[in-house]
Amino acid sequence: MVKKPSAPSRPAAAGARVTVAFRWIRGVVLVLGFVTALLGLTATFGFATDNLTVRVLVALVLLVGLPLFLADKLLARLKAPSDRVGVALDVFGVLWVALAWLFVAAVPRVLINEGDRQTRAGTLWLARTAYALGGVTPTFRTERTLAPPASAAPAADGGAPVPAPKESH
Amino acid sequence: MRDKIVPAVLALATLGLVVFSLARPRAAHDAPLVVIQEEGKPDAGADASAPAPDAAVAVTAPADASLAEAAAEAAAPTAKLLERPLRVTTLGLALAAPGTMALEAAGPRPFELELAPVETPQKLEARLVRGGADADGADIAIVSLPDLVAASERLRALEPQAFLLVGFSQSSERLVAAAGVKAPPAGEVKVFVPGGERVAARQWMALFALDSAQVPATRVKLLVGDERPKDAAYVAGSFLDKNDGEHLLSTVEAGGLVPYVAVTTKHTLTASEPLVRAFTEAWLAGMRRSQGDAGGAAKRVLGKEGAVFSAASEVSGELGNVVERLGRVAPVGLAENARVFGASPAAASRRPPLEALASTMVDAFRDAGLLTTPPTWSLVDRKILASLTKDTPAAPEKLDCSRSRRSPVASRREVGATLDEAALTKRIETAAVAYEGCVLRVTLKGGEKPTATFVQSARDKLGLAPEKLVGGTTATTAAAVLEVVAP
Repeated sequence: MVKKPSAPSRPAAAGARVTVAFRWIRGVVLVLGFVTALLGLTATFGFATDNLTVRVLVALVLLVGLPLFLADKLLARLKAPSDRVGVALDVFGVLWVALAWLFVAAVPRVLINEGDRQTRAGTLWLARTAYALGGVTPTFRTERTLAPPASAAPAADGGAPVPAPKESH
Repeated sequence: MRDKIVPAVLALATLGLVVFSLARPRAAHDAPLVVIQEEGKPDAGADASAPAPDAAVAVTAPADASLAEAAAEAAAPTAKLLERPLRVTTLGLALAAPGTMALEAAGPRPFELELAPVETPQKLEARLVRGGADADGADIAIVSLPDLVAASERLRALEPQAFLLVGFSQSSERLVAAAGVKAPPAGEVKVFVPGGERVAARQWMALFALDSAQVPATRVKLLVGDERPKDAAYVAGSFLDKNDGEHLLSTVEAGGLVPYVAVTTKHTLTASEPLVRAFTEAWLAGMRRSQGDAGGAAKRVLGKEGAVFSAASEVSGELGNVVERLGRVAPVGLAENARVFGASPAAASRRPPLEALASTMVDAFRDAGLLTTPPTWSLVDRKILASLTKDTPAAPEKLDCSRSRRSPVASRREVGATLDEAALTKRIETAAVAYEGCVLRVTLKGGEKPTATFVQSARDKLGLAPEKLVGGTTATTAAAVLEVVAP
């Protein structure tokens, strides 16, 4: 005689769906907050160097290190929380979303400057993103010049000539 | 509970951020100039004496002295005269072509150039109204003189002035009688003008040609539209339109009737004279290069190369079409500019010939009801050209009227018992520019002696060369006859 498996109760199934939905919401919030905060923090270090790789690395260290440190302190103060990972992720989320609000609403000039920097570097997709978050509609102006293959004529405006943008417009 | 509340609050905050980003007003922002340097070499088949397609990038061994001077100037350090780009808007692609070859990419530049070719005079006017400090505006507009006159009333507050001649319209305007019309009808004369970018130039062509046929502008009714009314006696179109009637006049015979000019506001001309002078020199150099390599200039315009092009530029069409349109702009240089602007010291006391043409245009437009009040400022300013040509002796007009097969090319009989000498002198002044390259022959009713006296007086008053204005010897019954003939 085979025993029928007991069917899950209806409230338990609904609770599981809500939990999954909140996980998704948390995921989306974390991704959006992280990207915006990373761009803003990278742009902030533009005053020190134009090197994008260095700026991104420093911003990544801060964006991951600081919430990890805060989460560690918080978990030590909480009495045995059941969801330690969830607490840590909430700390990440709060910090990243707060930074995103700071750059987008309070100091958009930082993002506009980053847009200018990326335009000069020819990374137009990144420039467009920065301008969009900075709240401006850019007018891109390009000039194509032809140089002899072996020569390297200096750019007219004193800036270094750059390769063709990676995105046409 | 915390695992629900915190994500919910964060979700709301993120949603608020997205809504805030999308809903807030977005200001226009000028992104920095992107210089894209491509490797390449000039066409091997290019004419060695003509500037290479990449002449705007590297000037090597210039063929004539003026180019050598330009190269020497380019080698000297030049301070920027304008921090932002100098914005130039043109009516159509052909007029923008010199801009793609105006500045040396490799040398120092006194300013950066941003071109915005547009297809309607309305858009061009709107850019001039906004001014060059606006990304959607312009410091300088390049249009036909009739467009400037037609817009003068709307742009009265800006006091626009022409300061450089960039060419003459060639075979783009033509007045043809409707089939069966042998002479202008009595009373109102209806002229159909097809709509489009050349309306003002065609209206001017119609008024000028009909005036020669004894129809004053007050009797002319200009009907602008897409469909030709059945009662229109004349059509002011182009050579592309099919018409069965008699050809009256076109910009083939009247090669100087529709000049293209560079226009800016009186304020800019006064406050930024060094900048406008630098632009004039650069544009003249660009005109010289584009005339030497029209194919290269057409390619550059279509490819938006050689200069920065505004995002609002209206650039489209086939290469052959652009080359054809370039051919419809008769080339001019510094010598022609000096002449039509009366820039030589000898002509300083006289009205510039281009201003005389503009004045006649204003009168005709007023009589035809296209303008209500004339401009209170001069539409032509010669100080830029005068400063550029002060050390250059004035070159005489090259007389070559071979483009027309008619003889005489045009004629006008002054009717009436007595001769209005002032009116005839004014007609000669206008015709001297309108019939560029042709000889004007005047015959008075009294015979050779009064004719010779009048001709000499008109030459002195208008500064015309003896070869340009001659006296006729054939007896006439009219008070006077003004004929346009080949030299």
